[in-house]
Amino acid sequence: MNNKIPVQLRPPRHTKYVYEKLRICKHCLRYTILYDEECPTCGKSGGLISLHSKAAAQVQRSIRNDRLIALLITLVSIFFGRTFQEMALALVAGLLLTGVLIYVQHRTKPQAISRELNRIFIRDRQQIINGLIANLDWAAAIGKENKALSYEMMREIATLVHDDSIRSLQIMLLQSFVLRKDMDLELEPLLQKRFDPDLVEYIGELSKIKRELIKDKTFRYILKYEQHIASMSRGDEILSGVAAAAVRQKRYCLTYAEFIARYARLFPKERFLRLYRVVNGSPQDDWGALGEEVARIFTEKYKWDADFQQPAIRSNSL
Amino acid sequence: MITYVCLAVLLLFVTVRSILFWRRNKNLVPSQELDQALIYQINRESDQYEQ
Repeated sequence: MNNKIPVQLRPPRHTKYVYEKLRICKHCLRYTILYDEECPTCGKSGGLISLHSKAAAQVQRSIRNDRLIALLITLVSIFFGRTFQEMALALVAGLLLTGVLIYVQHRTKPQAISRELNRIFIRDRQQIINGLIANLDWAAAIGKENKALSYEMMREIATLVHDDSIRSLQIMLLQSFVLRKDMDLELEPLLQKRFDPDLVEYIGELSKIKRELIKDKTFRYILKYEQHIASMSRGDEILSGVAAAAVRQKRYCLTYAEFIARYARLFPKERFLRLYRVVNGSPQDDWGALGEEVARIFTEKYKWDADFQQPAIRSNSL
Repeated sequence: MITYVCLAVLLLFVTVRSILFWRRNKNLVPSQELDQALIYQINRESDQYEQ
């Protein structure tokens, strides 16, 4: 029985840099990567600020202190002037030197903020990790009521925490959803070092609905665990689906020729037709076993098929 | 006298701060490296982390 649920996933939050996703609560000083308006720890709203803002505030505080010191020394030097000329000199020199300080601070402020950010990462490392762990705990707890939200939360956490356990949890959630072509799905961030049957099943699903997500890293993962996958109940179907996904680009056909050759016989006609045209369209390339297998399958199954006699028409379909 | 001492102190203060600011400029961390630095700090004790 298919227990998969239809869901609507919000698109991932895109930032230019990953650290821009991290925020800190002004009230409880806990870090979070989730994008709610309220702090997930203390529940207060309006207190979450970005790390960049925090670093900028600290730099601004330091800049302000330096300027205050400069102004204080200027005032003291004016106060202790014995003549009007001394006081005027103190004022002019003080303002000039303070002006130089302000100019230098202004020119170096962006670099100071970058430096402060790096310092925050090192100094607050454990607090950041604690915040991410709290986010993960919440995401896991919420999974019982709202799997889609739980997946979205784990997707955000996984941009910073590179851990196979989180990836496994994401895969398990994805496998409980009805996957559709229009969904914002990902694959490469979910690849793991170890063999995960759920991940392989997910790749098999993607080979049907979003084969463009299957790229070099995925092919290498499949090749690495090909024997394990072949022993799964739908193993051959998944392997042939992935091999069929490789046919969309000539580069993949050349790189993974032997892998494709092993499963070309299981291709549906339209995928084999594409493979046939790729191979026959580049006779100068060394196709090795793949070329021989394609010729064999053509002779056995498609020799008299009209589609194989027509020249290829350029299309955008994969 | 105190005026000139204060001005000298101010000059020293501004000079030292300016030199420190400009020298630190050379150690600027680009934003891409900040990302890598944060990811390293979070994952460095994980045996699954690859740099």
